[in-house]
Amino acid sequence: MFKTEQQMSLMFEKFLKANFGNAYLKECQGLFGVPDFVFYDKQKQAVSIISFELKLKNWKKAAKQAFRYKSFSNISYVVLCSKSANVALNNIALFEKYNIGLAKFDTDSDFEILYKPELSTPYSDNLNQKLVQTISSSRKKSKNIETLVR
Amino acid sequence: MKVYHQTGFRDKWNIESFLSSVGNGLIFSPINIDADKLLALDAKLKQTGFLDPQLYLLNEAKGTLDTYPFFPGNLKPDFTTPDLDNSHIELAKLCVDYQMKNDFEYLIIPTRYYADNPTSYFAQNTDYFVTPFCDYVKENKIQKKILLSIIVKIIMLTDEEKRNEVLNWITGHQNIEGVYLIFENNFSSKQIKDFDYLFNALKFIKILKDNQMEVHLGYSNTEALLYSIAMPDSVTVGSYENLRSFGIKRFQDSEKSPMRSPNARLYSTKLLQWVDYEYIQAMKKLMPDYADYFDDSEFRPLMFKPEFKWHFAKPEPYKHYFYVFDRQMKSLPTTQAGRIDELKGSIKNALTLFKKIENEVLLDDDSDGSHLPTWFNVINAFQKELIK
Repeated sequence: MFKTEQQMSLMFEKFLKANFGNAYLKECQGLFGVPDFVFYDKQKQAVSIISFELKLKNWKKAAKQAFRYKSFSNISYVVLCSKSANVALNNIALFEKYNIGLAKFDTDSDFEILYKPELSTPYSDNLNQKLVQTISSSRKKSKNIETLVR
Repeated sequence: MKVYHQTGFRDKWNIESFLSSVGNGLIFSPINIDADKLLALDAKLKQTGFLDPQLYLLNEAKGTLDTYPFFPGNLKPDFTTPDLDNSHIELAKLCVDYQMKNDFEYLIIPTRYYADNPTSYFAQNTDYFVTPFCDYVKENKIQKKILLSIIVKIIMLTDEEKRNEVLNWITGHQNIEGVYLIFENNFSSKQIKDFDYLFNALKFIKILKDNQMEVHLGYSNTEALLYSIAMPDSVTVGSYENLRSFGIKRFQDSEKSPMRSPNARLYSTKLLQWVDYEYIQAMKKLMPDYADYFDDSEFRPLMFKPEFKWHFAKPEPYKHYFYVFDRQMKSLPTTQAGRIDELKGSIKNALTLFKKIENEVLLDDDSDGSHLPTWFNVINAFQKELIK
């Protein structure tokens, strides 16, 4: 069990780097909510954005936050520790209904996707463009993005 | 029931709306408008409004407050509470004279703010403000109506003994026409969802009305609709959140600490809710009829254009709110029973609309109408109270 969300965040960051590359922003401000991680994948002109909200408890609050991130992201995930993920799994219909990803992440860096969402268009062109501009000059590389998308 | 503009920063928007026949008058805010500038304002902007003297913190010179002749620091630089013993008569005279020069509709007796009211709070208020103020008005044969301003703290609503104490104090004064009532709001949510607070606020207003007092509710937000069933004489509309919810921070000079800008929001009379505009973007993408959830106004076409850059400091969402909320308040039935029925119907409709929205959009607690079931329960409880 993670002791704090900060501990969970630090381990998740290591996991993200190792498995998906270093193309991410941490606690990005000025959007609609503050996602723990915004992961991006640049392919020629197209940029795909995946946001992650990490929580130790309160899956519903996390789902509401993750929905906000769909304003500027193509995919938005709630990442919970095992115990909370089991509760959220009982409410998987909500994640399906709003096309929000659900995953669990543990202290041994075991990451399991419980619901894989479809790629969708961000709701706010302004916010999406703002974020795309922020990362436009980045040369950071992403990998394995396909594993996060249905 | 009248609707006043609670003015503050960017009072220009309120004045422009008022000149377009939105609202019945303006409540002026000394921390935001220079005393001479207010004196020079067109009389028609002042004859139907009043001044909130804002001596809440006595000698805190926030904004333009020290340009007012009745600001205590102008009588003595380091003015403190004990100085009131010698200066209360002079202060009352200056305060009345300034209000008279402006020819406002009402004269307002100032009040103090304390984080925790001292046991002598009411006695102090009587001695330092009410008595000298009323004496001066009487001596000078001034005919204007007098309102007593009072900040109602949460404990004054929820604790019966404290509630009775404040109500006895208010109703115990001669020569007072009514109250400029300000409910202190320390809630973290944008809408008040506390049953006891709202129910007791209604009872509080009702008792004052039963005592034939005029009740003018300052700093009201959407819950003005709920308060309307207790039949107050007026409510307010305000632009920024700190004008729709009273907190002492607005009057403290240390307010310069970094603040996060709120997201822009749009009020809907159909939803009885301010909705974060980012959710409106989501509704636009997911719900073909999204625009039907929002009201018409002269500002709507511009706001709904794709190129409109939403920002909390833009005038259109606020001017839209002033207009639609003023109309909503004015359309309420004049009878109490009628208002109760109408509001219950509006709440049911709003809850139905929220269900439709939440089929597509997952709203957060500040946009999802989650205050409405509480409102409904409060109305039912208040209805039972009326039968007693």
